Amino acid sequence: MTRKQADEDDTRALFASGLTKVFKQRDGSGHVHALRGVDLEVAAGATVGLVGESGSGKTTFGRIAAGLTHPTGGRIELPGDPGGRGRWGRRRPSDVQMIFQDPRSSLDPRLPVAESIAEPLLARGLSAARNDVMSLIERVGLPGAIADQRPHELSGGQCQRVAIARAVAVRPKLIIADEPVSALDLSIQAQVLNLLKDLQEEFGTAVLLISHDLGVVRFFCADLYVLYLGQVVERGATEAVLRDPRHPYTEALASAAPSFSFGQETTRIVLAGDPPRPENPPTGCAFHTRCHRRIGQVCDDQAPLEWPTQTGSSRCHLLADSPAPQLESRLRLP
Amino acid sequence: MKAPLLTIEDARVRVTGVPDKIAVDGVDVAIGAGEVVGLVGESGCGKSVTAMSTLGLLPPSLTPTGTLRLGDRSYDLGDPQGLAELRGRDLAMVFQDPGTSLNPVMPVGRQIGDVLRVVEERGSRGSRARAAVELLDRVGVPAPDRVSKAYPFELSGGMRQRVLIAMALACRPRLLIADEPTTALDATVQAQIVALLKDLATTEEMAILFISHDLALVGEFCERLYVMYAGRVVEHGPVAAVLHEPHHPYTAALVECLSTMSAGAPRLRTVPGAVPALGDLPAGCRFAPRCEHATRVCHEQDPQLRPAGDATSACLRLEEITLLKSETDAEEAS
Repeated sequence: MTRKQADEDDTRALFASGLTKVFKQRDGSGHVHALRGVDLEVAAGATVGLVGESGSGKTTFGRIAAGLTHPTGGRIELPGDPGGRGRWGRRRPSDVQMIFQDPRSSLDPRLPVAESIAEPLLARGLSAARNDVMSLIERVGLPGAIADQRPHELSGGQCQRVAIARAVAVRPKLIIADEPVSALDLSIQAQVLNLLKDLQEEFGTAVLLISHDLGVVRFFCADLYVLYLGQVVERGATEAVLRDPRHPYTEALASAAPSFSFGQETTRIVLAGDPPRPENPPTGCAFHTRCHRRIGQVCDDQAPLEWPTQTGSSRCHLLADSPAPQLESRLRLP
Repeated sequence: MKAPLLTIEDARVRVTGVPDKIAVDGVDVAIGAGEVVGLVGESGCGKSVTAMSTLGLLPPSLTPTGTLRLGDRSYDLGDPQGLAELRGRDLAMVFQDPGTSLNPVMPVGRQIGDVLRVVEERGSRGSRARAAVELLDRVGVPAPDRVSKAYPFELSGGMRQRVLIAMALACRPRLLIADEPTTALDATVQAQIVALLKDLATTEEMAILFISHDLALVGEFCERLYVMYAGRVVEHGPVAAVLHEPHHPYTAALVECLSTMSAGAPRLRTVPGAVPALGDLPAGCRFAPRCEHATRVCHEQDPQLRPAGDATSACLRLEEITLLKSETDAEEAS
């Protein structure tokens, strides 16, 4: 390994470029283009959010990054695998851990909690002394008595704490958290998010947080990627993207999230129609079928380029006219 | 509130054969004609069970008691046959998962027609089919002719939810009970369905009982609000009063969880602990073990609902404690 590669390995937790993923439909009738050329970077120790609706490809991206499935095309570099050769399917890159949405189904129902937490350590040939496991259990705010209980005896929030303890046990460079709190109640969500943030800061772990909830990513992530039909339509600093969205889809998404500014009138952009199906994406700009700012034929025919914005970029024809037109921000964040 | 259209009095639901397992413990709800009322709480607090008991749809494992009054008629919640005559006529319901609420092997138009056949005893198949298309049109389904001949699997989640709403409207109910109708939907589609329900409440003069765990959504959509905790109503009143100046520590805690999340605060406000299990309810105030304001009396005495500002709250110490003070002050200052 050259010096340069070693440096990059240290400063990057994840680097994806032109990543594509095509699923064959089971009946052989066609192909689902789940990812259509995604570039995404997570710096070491950074917190990056990936938002989008169902079918946008966000979970597929997470699964590729965790080594659970392999991409159809493009490159992905992970810690411990800087050449991007990929070891998908058989072995996950050891420096990447994953936290799933449903903590109950991601823990082995037959294993006592302590053994679930010890498993990734043992799998890597590390020591998993009882003391270490107990201190992890304590660190995620669970009573020690829980160590010998099985997942069905625990609440959803407790299970998710166990999943977090298991994920941080091997001190990974990157944690991929796919909707880690969406199955939990509001008061429990807050507990789990605070814990995850504390651990992220304490260990300097990079986190890629996949969510449909803008509140969650706003709290957790410094940077944000917005995915629509397998493409990144906008990226940038989370605050900037949500306060002043530069892509009409981000704008609609942000306005659709109940903002808790009750009492005040909020302008909500209600998009027409359903999200198109990924097996049959529209021509031109993928968003043009629902866009409230469609400017004409160009949107139907030509795929927009990625235009720079203040903190990132946006894939929208509106930005092609220079000087950059001001998308009117309808968002009102406190 | 307008003169009540429907009241639920002293609804209690016990686990059959286990008298000390109480899912709903003395709940009173009143809904005015054409009023949009929210029922919120975390999972397991009894909001769906309350709704199902008013429709006579509880499974045999749960035994309800209480009274439902609609106009000058009254019904015993323990008598499902009596309640059956209300269902689909005066009361209609929309469930969370539009996928499992429809018959997968029958075109949706015929399913809507079936409601008309059973409830209105409308004879001719042709007239039912025409009525179904008309209903689909009313809930904003594009190309209602074509959709009425489609099977559920051919429709998107948002479209299926519109079909269910069309079915619920078929017999011009006076109250629509909507149990988490948008939870399974994407944010932009959720915005569409909420806009539709809001519109229907006005144009059809139909009251809506909107059950949700999403406080922000309820805050935008509803006029009045009931907050449930561990089988009881802990606070109710106009949305602005309950959410802006909560008089119950549980409501205040939920509001703070949410507002810290949407405000991009560095740390989220949490509620320690979790909702108690049905068979293991604490003595005194049920929220006391998680409440930062609890004193000895809270663990001993059962709180009753009493007036608090513009709302009604079941907190023993509501006169002594100040909730959300800093936030209100900050707003006044700004």
